[in-house]
Amino acid sequence: MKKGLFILGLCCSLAVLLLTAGSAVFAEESPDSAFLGQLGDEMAGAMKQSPTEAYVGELLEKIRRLGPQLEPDGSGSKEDAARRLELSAITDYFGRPDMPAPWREQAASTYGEVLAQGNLSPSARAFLCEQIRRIGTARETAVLAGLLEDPQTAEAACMALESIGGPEACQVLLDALNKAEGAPAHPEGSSPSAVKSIRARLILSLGAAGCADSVALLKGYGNDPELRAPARGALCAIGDPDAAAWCLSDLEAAGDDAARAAVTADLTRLAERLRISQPDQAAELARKMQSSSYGPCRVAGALLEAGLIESGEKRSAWLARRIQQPDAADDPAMWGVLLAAAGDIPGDGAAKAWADLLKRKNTPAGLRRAVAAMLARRGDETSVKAVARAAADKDPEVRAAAMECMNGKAAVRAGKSLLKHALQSEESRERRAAWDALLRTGDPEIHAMAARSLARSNDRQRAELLGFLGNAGAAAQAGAVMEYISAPDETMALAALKAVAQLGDNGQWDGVLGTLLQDAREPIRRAAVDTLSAIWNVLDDTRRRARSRDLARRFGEADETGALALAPLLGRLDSAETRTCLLEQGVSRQDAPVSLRVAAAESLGRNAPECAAALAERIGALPVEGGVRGAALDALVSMLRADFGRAQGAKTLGLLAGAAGAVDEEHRAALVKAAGGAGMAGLEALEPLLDNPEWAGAAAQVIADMVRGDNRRPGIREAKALEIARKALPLLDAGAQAALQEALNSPGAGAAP
Amino acid sequence: MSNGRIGERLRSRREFLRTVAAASAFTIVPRHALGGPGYTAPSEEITRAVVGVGGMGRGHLGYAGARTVAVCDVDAQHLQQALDSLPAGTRGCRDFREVLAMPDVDVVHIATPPHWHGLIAIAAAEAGKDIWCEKPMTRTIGEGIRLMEAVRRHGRIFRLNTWFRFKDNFYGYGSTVEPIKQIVDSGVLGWPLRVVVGQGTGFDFKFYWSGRTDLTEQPVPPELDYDFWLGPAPYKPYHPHRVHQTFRGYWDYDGGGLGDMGQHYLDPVQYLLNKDATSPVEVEVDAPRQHPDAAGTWRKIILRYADGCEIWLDGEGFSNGMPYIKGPEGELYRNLELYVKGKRVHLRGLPKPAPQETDFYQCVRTRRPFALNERNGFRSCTLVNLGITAVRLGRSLRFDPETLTFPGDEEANRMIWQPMRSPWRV
Repeated sequence: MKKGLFILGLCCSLAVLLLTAGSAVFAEESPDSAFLGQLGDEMAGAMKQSPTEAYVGELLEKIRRLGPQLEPDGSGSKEDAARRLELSAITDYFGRPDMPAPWREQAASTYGEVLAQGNLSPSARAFLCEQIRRIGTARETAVLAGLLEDPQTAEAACMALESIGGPEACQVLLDALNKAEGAPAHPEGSSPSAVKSIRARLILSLGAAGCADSVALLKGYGNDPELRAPARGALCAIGDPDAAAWCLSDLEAAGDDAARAAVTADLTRLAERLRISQPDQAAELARKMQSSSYGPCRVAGALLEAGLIESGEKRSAWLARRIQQPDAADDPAMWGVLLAAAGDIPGDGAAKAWADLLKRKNTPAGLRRAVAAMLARRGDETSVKAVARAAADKDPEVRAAAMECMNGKAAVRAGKSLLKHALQSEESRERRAAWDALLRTGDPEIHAMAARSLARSNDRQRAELLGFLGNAGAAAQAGAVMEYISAPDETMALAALKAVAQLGDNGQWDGVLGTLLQDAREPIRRAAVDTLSAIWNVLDDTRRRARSRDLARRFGEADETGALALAPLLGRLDSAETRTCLLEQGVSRQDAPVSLRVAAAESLGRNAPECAAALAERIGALPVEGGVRGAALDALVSMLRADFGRAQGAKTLGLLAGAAGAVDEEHRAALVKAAGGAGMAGLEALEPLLDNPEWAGAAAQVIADMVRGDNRRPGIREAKALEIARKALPLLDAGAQAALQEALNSPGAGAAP
Repeated sequence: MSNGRIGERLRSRREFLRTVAAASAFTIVPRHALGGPGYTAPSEEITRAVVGVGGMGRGHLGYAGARTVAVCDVDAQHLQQALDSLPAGTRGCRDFREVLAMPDVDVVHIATPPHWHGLIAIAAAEAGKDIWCEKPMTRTIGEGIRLMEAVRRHGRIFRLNTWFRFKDNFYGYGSTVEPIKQIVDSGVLGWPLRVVVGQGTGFDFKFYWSGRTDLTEQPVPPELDYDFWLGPAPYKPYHPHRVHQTFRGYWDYDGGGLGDMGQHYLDPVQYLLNKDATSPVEVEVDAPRQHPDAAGTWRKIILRYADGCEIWLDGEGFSNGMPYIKGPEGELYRNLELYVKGKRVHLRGLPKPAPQETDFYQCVRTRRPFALNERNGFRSCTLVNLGITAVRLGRSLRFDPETLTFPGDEEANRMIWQPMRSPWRV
């Protein structure tokens, strides 16, 4: 377990190195990775060369030399890896679209020559077949033919022939099919799930290659129970119109949905072929498919028939009529597909039929809802108008569908109605849908309308309006929102402060600060701090400087209550001035009230790790009474945990260790534990503490935990870490010593990354 | 697979869905209408099966909103570990087709290696199941096309297992995607835009998912059906580095770190740039030559759209200090730091983006397409597959987003539809 984690840590470190190395490193675990990476870069450079007679000749010679040397898959040799890399690079070089065809053909032929040599392993031949698959032409079909009878090479040869296609490849496949007598497609033990006969494989390839000349032969397999289905598939892939009858008959005779699905897929493939060559036949087939008792076949037929209609507007109108037919009403899959197809047809003309459908009162309610949702996603003017109307529909489900799906344009159009439903609907989901739709408008007019509604709304409505204005970032309505930040109702005040956080800027600063200083409610003060922090983020540097100075002045002049209110804010803001003020006027000031000193320390601890060293410097001078020093030490623990680097962890710990007796045992343990979470930086920060009698024990324990396998952190540099660990060893108790010693003694410990 | 049982279940499920679709655009049929107060009618509950429970799939077992009734894995040990963590009565099998034949499974979660995603998703759609699929959606562009067709033809709800376009902090960027979208849609950055995805902008391409070239044949462990694990991939002798996590390093099954993480990083970019219905027209690459079997590293990939928008993928660290998004008028850095014409700006009052359906199991009930479905998922997966194709071929490519081909580039086109080992076919 420890060794495994050691290796894992090593690999993680390696991965980090690899990611940052910037070099073409190939594979982190392969011992050949550096070599192959270099070869890969060399090949990439070489492959940029423009083709010349001489260079082409060189590459062809390489094929002749390297091809016969190919080893079987699984040899694992570096040389073979390089060989394959080079050959596939050569293939791709000749595969470039700007390569003159004669040279490409020569390369493919050369692969063919090598393939024809009888002394290669099946996997080597498969590799060569793959090169031919990528750049081969009709000239290579003869050599591929020779591989079709061998079960160990037939698969690879078929794949190549499928890609090459054309009459020569088809003839080879046909001849092979005629010859095959039920031999197994793959050697025993290597592919048990393969088709039972090579004939099926060849049939599949004939279809994939589009071999029209094989149609007569394929039709002959109609009575063969094993080969009927692949033959049917091939005929459909080729586009033979007679295959339609075969498919429809198989569809009705199919015993289960898997078989029906397979036939439907074949029918769809056939119809797509016919669409190009014989559109009338395609239309006829599409209609027949729609009479099937099998739902997906009807759906496919409907899509096909729609696809034959060229005009988008007419197609959309056809879809709208089709969805109203009885079989569609009973088939939600048909609905979904027809609506999706309609949604894809752009333009006002295409939307008209659907907008009319939505308007008609006798359209079934469910269909109206689905149509509303579909139109809501469109952007044309007809759809926008229809959806805006739908947002005020009497049917709440239609309203909801429209609101949930509508885009910004429709939402602007429906603004008044949306606002009405957002405020008045009894149904919370509808209100939410309406508010969400309003948020898509970004319309200042709607924001203003919402703001005007604040005064005459009830509490629930007002809270939702404030939430909307905030989420919408309606900066122009900040004044209206600010009226509520000190509302007697706490929920209202919080909603208003949250909104100001989202839309406020410098103009709202003083108002919110006033609330922070004057409102006695703790939740309101906390929210005010959040709001001021949010506003701070949008202030420019000049305003930030001005506000920092103002806050520091106020803090210095405030009474205890005011200063306590300001303390959380001063720590929170990203301002050296306010944080220094907090440190000096808050934590360190001898005459400051204890509560303020504690609050100041807490604020720094939560927010300002960069103040850690400065706070540590003062630790000895802080009183223990009242918990001031304790609060400061708690703050330091938080800072180190949050960001050891920004907290200058090593320096901070050094300062604390130097203040002899200033840090109690509990805080010492917490501080060194915080260092323990900081990886190598933490380890190095703990090392000097081993020489400090007060700190040595705790530091040693944490060091041991860090270096032992089960607590190993990524990035620990082995040699240095072990050196520190050896230093800590004598300071541990017996049990811990033994555990650490075991880790130090384990094989691989001390290995450099 | 029993025809009677499937037919009956499909009819009752269909009846339920018809009722749901008719009754509600956004709510399910109320409990009291189905079985009285306090009674959870079985048809309300969505059931799922998870295919592939060795790594990522274990996480799928606990996704809220549905009940796991079956698990499937070609590794008997993984299967048993999953079953041990689930209530008694959960079914286990080693062939995904058995899962698809279970009439009481509504949704199939696919958490196998990517070379299986297309096949299983298509079969699941054809079996009437809704689908929750791990990324990358498919290993090749061709499989993606077939998957889209099948999902559409069978009216299924499909979701991809990446979500950053609608929720969660966007890796190391420093915020969620929504405010970035608001800024882009506001137009302050101008157009076209360049997006940089790399270490400097908060994204790590995990090059430790590289393959090894020194694999020697090892005996197949008895618990693993290696032939089935390979499935449509070419037969290569077994080595543990080919399977279970490290499969990511092999082109036959995945695409290295780009394949593993690419769709997480690039799907939100596609969304930000409003490119859900299209693809780049050019891909440029700077990489060492790749081994034909083992995925390696690359230095830079540029995906360029017809309107001039670009996505730069940084594999070597050049993105440090660069803006995440740069336009002619402004730049957006990590943590939403926005500069317009050189000045730091805080934008307020921006409209929220168009709504997205983000509750998959609710989409199963309402039949509305999920936010990241088979169509926009295909497009963001195509970004990944274009990058992988360019890296593997070692050169730049031109692509047609309408025909989904590489014009005049036969070799690249032969990467779109890659043959499968029989009997597997899409």
